[in-house]
Amino acid sequence: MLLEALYFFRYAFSKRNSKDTFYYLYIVAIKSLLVISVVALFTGMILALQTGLELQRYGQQNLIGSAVAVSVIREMGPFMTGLIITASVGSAIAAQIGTMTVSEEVNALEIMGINVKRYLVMPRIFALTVIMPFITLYTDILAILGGALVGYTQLNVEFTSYFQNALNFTDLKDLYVGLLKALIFGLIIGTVSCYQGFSAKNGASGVGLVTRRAVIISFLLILIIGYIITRLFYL
Amino acid sequence: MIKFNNIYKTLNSRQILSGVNFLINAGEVIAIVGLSGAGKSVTLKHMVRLISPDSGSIEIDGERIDDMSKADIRNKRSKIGVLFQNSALIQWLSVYENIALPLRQRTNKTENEIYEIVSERLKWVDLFESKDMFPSELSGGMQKRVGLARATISNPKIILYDEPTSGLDPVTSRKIDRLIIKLNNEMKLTSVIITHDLISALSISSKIMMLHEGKIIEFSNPDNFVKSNHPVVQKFVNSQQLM
Repeated sequence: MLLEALYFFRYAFSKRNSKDTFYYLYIVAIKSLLVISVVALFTGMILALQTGLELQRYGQQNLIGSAVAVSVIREMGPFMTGLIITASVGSAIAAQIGTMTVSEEVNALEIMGINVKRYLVMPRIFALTVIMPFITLYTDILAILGGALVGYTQLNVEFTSYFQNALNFTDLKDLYVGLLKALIFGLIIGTVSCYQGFSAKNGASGVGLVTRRAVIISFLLILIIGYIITRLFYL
Repeated sequence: MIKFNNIYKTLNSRQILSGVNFLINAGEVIAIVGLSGAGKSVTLKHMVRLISPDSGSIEIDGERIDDMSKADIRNKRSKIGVLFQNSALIQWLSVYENIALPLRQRTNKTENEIYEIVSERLKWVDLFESKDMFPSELSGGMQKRVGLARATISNPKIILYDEPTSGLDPVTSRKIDRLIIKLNNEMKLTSVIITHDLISALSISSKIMMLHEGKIIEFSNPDNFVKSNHPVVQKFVNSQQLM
């Protein structure tokens, strides 16, 4: 299914698919923004507070910029974004396609000669794959800002010192690897959610079951694949 | 033309079809009746290869569909319209967009051309005024009419109806029956109607087939069907008359 969807990526902005593609780009990017903003901000704040309190014991609280930036850009940014998008968008996709499957709407599409992989799967996976790196970048920025806010208000770390320290300890590779993770997580969430949706049967309870399964499998794959990518690039 | 050659099908360890053979000629209107679980819907799903047989072959217009490639079956399906039991309309699309969907996805027609075709079909099912409504805002009968408009929008040669009057009151059911008769007269389609409703089967079809435990036990014109000596057919006919 993933390979077919990837093949149809070239039609993402064709006359037949552009409306759905833009709709899902909008859903993934805009509809999840509020919850992502809150989670990103607090993730950065918590990271800064926890590491800052420990570093403060040694008078090294100025280093929280690097601690927050490195952990957010390499791991927490893509990971948190992946979890939120799975819970908000992936579950919705699994439930929507699951409902269509049990109510024979998918059969109806197939009988009309419409390729369901192109019509239903491609726009969703495309939107998730394309948007995930951008949302992750947004998450990274907000989390780092959250850390700066806590550093300034709770730990007496100046903004310039915080950001200078953050820049000194991070490089472009960290950003690229983080964004690569986000892109792969987007593919995972889209593929798992669509696949689970198509496997729904036995009415409403079946839809609930595949939605739950889509979320759990996506979470586990995000954790496992995230670890593998980190190991590949940093060990 | 639809031809079933010795079709067997087992689902969940249960034999659903046991050696089903029949031939439906072009232009015929056939009703398939039977008790729940007799294999009616499974028979219909075989006709569009939503289900493949365990053994036997199925021909549509002289071509075997049971061993066709995905691309070929997609083309074949575009010549077949199906009205599903629950209408199977896409819930997030309006009435107009539901009917326009096959034209948008399968043809290169312009929006103006699509508007002309869809508007004509909407007027035909008397739903032009409801074109901007969503399926959840429609009654069961209206949903069936939208489903019928969508099933016929690509000018199919064959149309399959899965319980077209189920869940509808008698007045709306007869309205749907009249619409099906009108459609058959105007478009000269080969039609297969799966139904529990004998009144509907008798008024619409030229032949009635009864399935029982995966086998055809009667296949005759409406007059002979109601006079059948088969005890299961008699019981089915009598139960409907009692109602």
